[in-house]
Formats: sequence, C-alpha cells, structure tokens
Amino acid sequence: MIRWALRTLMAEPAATLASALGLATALFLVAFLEGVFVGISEEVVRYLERSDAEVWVMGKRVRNMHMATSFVAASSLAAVRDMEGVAEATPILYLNTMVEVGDDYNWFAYIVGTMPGAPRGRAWAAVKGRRVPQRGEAVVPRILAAKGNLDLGDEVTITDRRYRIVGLSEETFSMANSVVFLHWDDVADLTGQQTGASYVLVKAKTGTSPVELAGRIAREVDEVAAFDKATFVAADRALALHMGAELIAIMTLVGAVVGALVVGWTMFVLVSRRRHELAVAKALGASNRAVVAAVALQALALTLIGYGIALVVALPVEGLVTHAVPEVTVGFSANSLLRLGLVALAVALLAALVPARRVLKLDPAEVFA
Amino acid sequence: MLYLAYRELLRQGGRGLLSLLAIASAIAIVLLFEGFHAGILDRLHRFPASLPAQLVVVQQGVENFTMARSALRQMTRDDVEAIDGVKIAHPLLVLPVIFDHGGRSIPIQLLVHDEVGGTRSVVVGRNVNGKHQMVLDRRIARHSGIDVGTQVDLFGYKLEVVGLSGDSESPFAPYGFISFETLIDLYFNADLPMSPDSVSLLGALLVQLEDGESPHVVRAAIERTVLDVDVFTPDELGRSDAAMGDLLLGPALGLLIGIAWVIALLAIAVGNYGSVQARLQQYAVLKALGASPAALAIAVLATALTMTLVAIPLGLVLSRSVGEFVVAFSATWRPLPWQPEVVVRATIAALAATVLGVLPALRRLTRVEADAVLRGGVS
Repeated sequence: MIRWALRTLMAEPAATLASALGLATALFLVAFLEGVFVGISEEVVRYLERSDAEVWVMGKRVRNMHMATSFVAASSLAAVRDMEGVAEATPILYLNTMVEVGDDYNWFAYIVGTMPGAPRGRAWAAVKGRRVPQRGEAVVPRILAAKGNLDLGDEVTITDRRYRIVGLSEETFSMANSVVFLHWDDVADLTGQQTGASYVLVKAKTGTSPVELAGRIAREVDEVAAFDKATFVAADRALALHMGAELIAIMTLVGAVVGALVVGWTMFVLVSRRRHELAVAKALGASNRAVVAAVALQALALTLIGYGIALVVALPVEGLVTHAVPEVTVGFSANSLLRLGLVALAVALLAALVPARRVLKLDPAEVFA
Repeated sequence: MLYLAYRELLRQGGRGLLSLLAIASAIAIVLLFEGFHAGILDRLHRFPASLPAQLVVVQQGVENFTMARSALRQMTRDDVEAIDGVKIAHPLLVLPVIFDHGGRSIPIQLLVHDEVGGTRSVVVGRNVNGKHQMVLDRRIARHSGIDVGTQVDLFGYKLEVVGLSGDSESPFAPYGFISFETLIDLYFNADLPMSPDSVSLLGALLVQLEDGESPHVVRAAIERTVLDVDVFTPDELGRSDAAMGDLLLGPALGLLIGIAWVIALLAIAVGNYGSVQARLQQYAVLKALGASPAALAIAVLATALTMTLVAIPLGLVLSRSVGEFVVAFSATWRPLPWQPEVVVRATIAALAATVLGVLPALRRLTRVEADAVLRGGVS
C-alpha cells in the first residue's frame, strides 16, 4: 500500500502538482500574514530595544511610550541620578506627532530630543551624515526621507517648525512609530516643556539587577514609575499591537482559517478521487490499517511538497517586500514556519481521513457490484 | 448537459459542500480584507467631518484632527470671534491618553469641549453636563466592561461614565469626552504626565458663522488676521485624516489585500482544476456514451461556474459575519466588506479564476479515450 500511495501520486504529476499548489498558496498566505505581524511586532519596540537602557523611568501613572505623554520633574531626575546602583541616567524629551516630509507627505513619528553627548537615546545606526543633531537639525529615518525624496540638507516640518536633515538613520522607520531625533532644546520648544524630562534611560552599575533597581526607583523617587527594559518593552508592544497590529493579527487569523479550509478541501478532493482505488485495494485484502496508512502517507507527501513550495516562495519574498514596500517589514521566524507546517499537516491528515473512513466502511463486494 | 451539471452538483454531497465553502471563503477573505481598508478610511473621516462647525481653526502647520497635536494661544478665541461673520468659536482640545481600566490599556483621544463639540450620538445615558463626568465610546466601554455609572480612573482622578457614544470610533484611538471644567480639575488634582509649562487648554476652535456668511470669505479673513493658525472645513479635516490613515496603513494593507487576491484566485483556480480532475471518470463515461466534447465542456464549465455563483453570495454572507464578529470582539476595527465595486470585482475575478482552473482539465478531458473508461483506465 505504501508503494501504491507514492506511485499513484507520481502517476498523475499534473494533478499532484495542482493539489500541492493549492496547499502551497494557502500556506503561503498564512505564512506571509504572520510574517507581517511578526515584523510589525518587532519594529514597534525597536527604539526601546536599541536605546541601551536597562531601566526606564517615566511619569507616575505612565506605563508606555507608544502614544503616551510622560513627565519626570527635574527633582526626580536628580534623585534617580543619585540613586545607588545607577551608573548613568540619561534624560530624553519625547512627543509623538505628525512629521511633514516633502510636499504633503505626513508621517506619524516619535520625536525624541537628546542632549549633545547623551550616551543613549539617540540614533544608533546612521547610514549617512551625523547621528547627533544640533539646534534646528534633525536625524530622520532613511526610508522616511526617501519617501519624501529628501536627502541631507533638505528640511522636514513638525507643526510649524522646520528642521534641516543632517543624518539619515537606519532601523528607525516603522509603520506605527518612526523615530525622528532632534536637539533637546528644539523638542523643549515644541512641547513647551522647559524643565525635567519625558523619560529617563538608566544604565545600572555592574552587579545591580535592573529589576531590583527599577523597583527601588519606583518606591523611593517621588512621582515616577520605573520598569526594567523587558517589562517596559512588553507593555509597549502590547499597546502598540493593540493599536495597529491587532488588525494584522485579525487578518492573520482569518487567513489561517481560510488557509486551513483550502488545505482541507485539497486533501478531501484528492482522497475522494482515490476512493474507488482504495476500495478495490480493500476488496483485494488490504487491511484497514494499510488503507489509512496509504492515505496518511499521501497527505504527508502532498503537504510536504506544498509546504516546500510555500517556503521556497516565501523566503525570497522577505527581501523583495522590504525593497518594494519599505513601510512593511516581514519577519519569518523558524518557530512560526515550523508551527505552520505542523498545523497544515494536522489539517491535511484530518481532511484526508474523513473520506478514507468512508472507504473503510465500504463492503468490498460493492466495488465489484 | 446543463441539467447534468445541476445533478452533478447535487450528487457531490460533502465534497461539493466543502468545495463551495472553500470558494466562498476565498471570496470572503478578499471582501473582508478590502473591507478593513474601507472601514479604516470611513471611520477616520467620519468623526472630524461631522464636527458641528462650518470652520475649524487649528495650530498653523497642523493638517489633521486625529493624532495631531494642536495648541492655540488662549487669545486666539477672542481674535477669531472678533472677525466679521463669526457668530461664535467653541473651544476644543484633544488629549491623547492611555486609558487603563480593568487591566486593559487602550489609547484614546480625550476630547475636551464646552456645550458644543461633544458626541452627537449618545446611545446609552446622556452627554456630560458638569464635572467628574465622562462619555466614552461604546465599543471601548464594552471591551473594558464599562457601563453607564461606572467609575473610571484617569491619572488618579475619578470620573463617572454618564454616557456611551456611537459616533466616536476611530481606528487608531477612539474618542472619549469630558468638559473643560473636568479638565481644569484634572490639571489641579490628577497626576497628569505633563510638565506644568507644557499644558495647553486650547487645541482647536469650532467656528459657527452668522446666517448667510460665506465660509470662504470668513476663512480667508481668519487666516489673514489671526496669527499662527490654519483653517479647515470639517470635511477637509476628515478627508485629511482618511488620507493620513491611507498613508500609514495603506502600504501594509495594500500588500496584504494584493496577496489575498492572488491567493484567493489561485485557490479557486487550482481547486476547480482538482475538482474536475476528480470527476474525470464520470465525464469519460459520458463521453463513452456518446457525449460530444463540446457538450462535455459545457457541462464541466457549467458545473464549476454554478458552484462559484452559489459560492459568491455565501462569501458575501461569510465576510459580513466575520466582520460582525470582529466588531463584537475588537474595540476599534470595523470592516465594511460589502463595497459594491469590490463585490463586482470579486465576482468577475472569481468567475474568471474558475474558468482558468477548468480549462486545463478540459484539455485533458478532450484527450480521454472513450473506451478507456470501460477498461477502468481513467482516474
């Protein structure tokens, strides 16, 4: 039966390929949707991840950076700096608003103000120009500048103020929260905030636990909240995902259901076609176990072929999409691809075994009737 | 032969039902994804466009209502009201805040208003008419387990939800409403996460004109006379917000929608090819019994097209049902899956994909030797 299962698949290459393509399209859809979701999930917290802070200090009732407003008073900032276990405390000013890049091209962005010489909180990867802006200057994501056909020396507008681009940064563009870096004083002018900071990025001394330090800062410094990086990243990711990526998550879920249905349909049709042959095999003495094994093997083989095609198409797509649609980051992970394969296999087996069960119930005599 | 196609469909039973469901799902996914896009643009446009004013004054350089920070000088209101043709200018302030309730954090836009500018659609309860009160978007409320009478916490300040609004959906951050009296209380009594020197009490002005005054003339007068402001009609702001949403989410959604179209059509085509292959034996029997290739082709095509035609309304129903499911479980998203032009496009594309899927199988069918079926040689 095993040989028969494989030979019948090979006997009709066009039909087998069509079934495998059906599976591949469904699997590619799910893989792609999940890839977009993973990509967006990663990029929405990239600033928090790459800012080299072990503890984030913010206003008392603030829990996020995304869409948030935060204020840390100057006295609280000083208290954090003096706290035992704090190696460095770097303040940043922050607001989120629209940035006009080129003619009528507005993009939502984090505006981050750092002081010259600040060890963290600034652009971490510049591809062109400087990473630290002076007054009246801006470091903008390379992709955002490209969107507006801008380059070094051109200007971006935030509300009614214009800033000259002196640096193009990498890894700072995203659909939900691109990061534009300005001089501290420029952000202070934009927000009207003349004292204190929005957030304080803390580096702990060697041997100090960030979790313990965050707890101590929150307890001992007035009017602030403090979180270790992992906790803060998780909270911000959850909120950011709720705002934008939840949509992609819903689409992924819908895609997965449709994908499962297409996989099921393909397998069901394939096995239904073989019903007559399976019944003959049974009539000729094949055991129920052998019939089920043959069907399962066909499902496995076909799913593997479809999965393989989906992977071969999906992997280059990551690079292609990044190049053609830079607003979208696709992040395929080995885990999610493996999970997809296993779920597809389970669905395929289930769909194949339903018609196979009907064959098992057939009276062998009916085949020759 | 058409009768045969009809009988064939009935005969397929479970397999036919699964095929129907798969094709309907492929159509539904396209309608739904396109519906998400349409829904986002619709909701972004809707609230600003329905602001109760002929003109809206905002800070110079600000072009949006949603997610934009606009701060006007306090004297701006007097300056605007001093202009000929302006009847009254109602103050408005939009504060983006993270609303925490019951362990959930949701970004909302807190709209601070006087007697005008609040929600125009209270679906449960009433509008705010004093301190310590709030009207909240009904879907956010339902999502957070909030009802009229619930006490909510905003930066440590207690507010009672007195009404739920139905016109306040926004994909990025829905609206909540409080009065200026409450805002003043918030400034003095709550732990607002902003420095005292960055506090602004005025973000926009809703300008109502004297009867018979031309919005164009008054708009030009405001822009000429009042410093550091821009003036829009509510509809312009709505369209600007929709354009912003399209800019921010459009590339990602466009890509996903495009992929969904390709996958859906491929699935329909490949699925139909597989279905015809599966019935090759029966068609070969018909050929052996004397059916002409043309008649067989018509039967095969009619069967497949009928299946797709039945699947289309099912796809419509599926897309709408999933859309309602999303509305019930998500606090912010509202797909509009029945866009007429999308339905027409999906119908034509699905039928074309069906034909494309069937054609290669037809080629095979015409080559099948009639007597092979009698030898059991067709599978």
